[in-house]
Amino acid sequence: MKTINKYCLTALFPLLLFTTLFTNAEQVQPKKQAIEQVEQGKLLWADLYTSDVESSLNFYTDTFGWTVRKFGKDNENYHLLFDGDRAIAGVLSRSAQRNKTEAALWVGSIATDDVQAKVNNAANNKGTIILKVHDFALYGKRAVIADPQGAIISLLDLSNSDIKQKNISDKWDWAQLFSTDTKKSASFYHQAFGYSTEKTKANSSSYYLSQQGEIRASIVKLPASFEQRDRWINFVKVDDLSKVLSKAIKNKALIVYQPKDQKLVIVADPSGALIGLTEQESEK
Amino acid sequence: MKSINVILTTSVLLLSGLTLSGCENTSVSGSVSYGMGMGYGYPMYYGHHHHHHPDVIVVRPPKKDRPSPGKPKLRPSRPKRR
Repeated sequence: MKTINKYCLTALFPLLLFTTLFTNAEQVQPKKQAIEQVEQGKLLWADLYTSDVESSLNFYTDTFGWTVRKFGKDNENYHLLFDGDRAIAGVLSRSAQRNKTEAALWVGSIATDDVQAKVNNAANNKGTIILKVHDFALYGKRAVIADPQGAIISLLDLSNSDIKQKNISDKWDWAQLFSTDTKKSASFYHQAFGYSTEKTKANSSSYYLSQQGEIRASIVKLPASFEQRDRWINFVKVDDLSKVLSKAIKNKALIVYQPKDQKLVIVADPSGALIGLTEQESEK
Repeated sequence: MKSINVILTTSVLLLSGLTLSGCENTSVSGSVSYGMGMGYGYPMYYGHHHHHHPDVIVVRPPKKDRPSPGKPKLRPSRPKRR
């Protein structure tokens, strides 16, 4: 009996020490990372709403080399796309009937430190709350809204999330709003989300949206040839643009925009969802 | 003596359990409560028939040029001389 007691006592002290150390570490680390990594107002995440999940998953895995994981038992319809070992996007089903189109849609999430406040601001400025604030269990609080001109955007609060944040990819690079009325849009995003706005050039109808002193997104005039409803296009970085673009075309994507002087392109995936691609810039 | 033994053994088992459960890989596991219902019928209609649009523009500065032109330049504050 004495021997058991000895072993128990020997094991108890290291365990107590280990547990105490790790409990304290868990309390301190998340805050530090949240402060260091979350760039307010920046495109951080995106979800694809599609009526054909399987073909969308096939397209994105084959074109970008991303892999698929299911989100969890309770939400089997939600799939996570991974770029290497970091989650980059979600894919979920929304019926064509409910969508009123067979075209899929990418909804980008911008980082914010208070989703509820931003949602309230949006509602006070004639925005529509599509999905009220809810737990986006992997990453924090989330809400989806439509701005007064119909562009859909999501807000994501990572400030309370912990080390899981490290597993989110940083490949979402840029977001641009195509707007029927750029001035109205700039005013809305300033009032509701706190962006600073400035014209890209004098006498231009395009705007930059900035937060924390850094340009995060842009607003340009929606071309007349498009369906006249505002929309956000989200841009993702790739290592080799021409290689990914060739694969995308092979997988039946359509090029919507490809300027000669910039390493970026906008494509419509086979389900009609628009996504922008940019080439990873060198650090020099 | 017996009761001390019981307390010690229970403590060791409990702490071992807690320590091991703390080491769980939480990257994608766990129960979730994610709202899957996207909007209450909000029309996400954007049309289709996308084709090449020469009149599209994208305004995107290179990463190194993204600090806002309106951002005040920060200088380290100098200590006041008396």
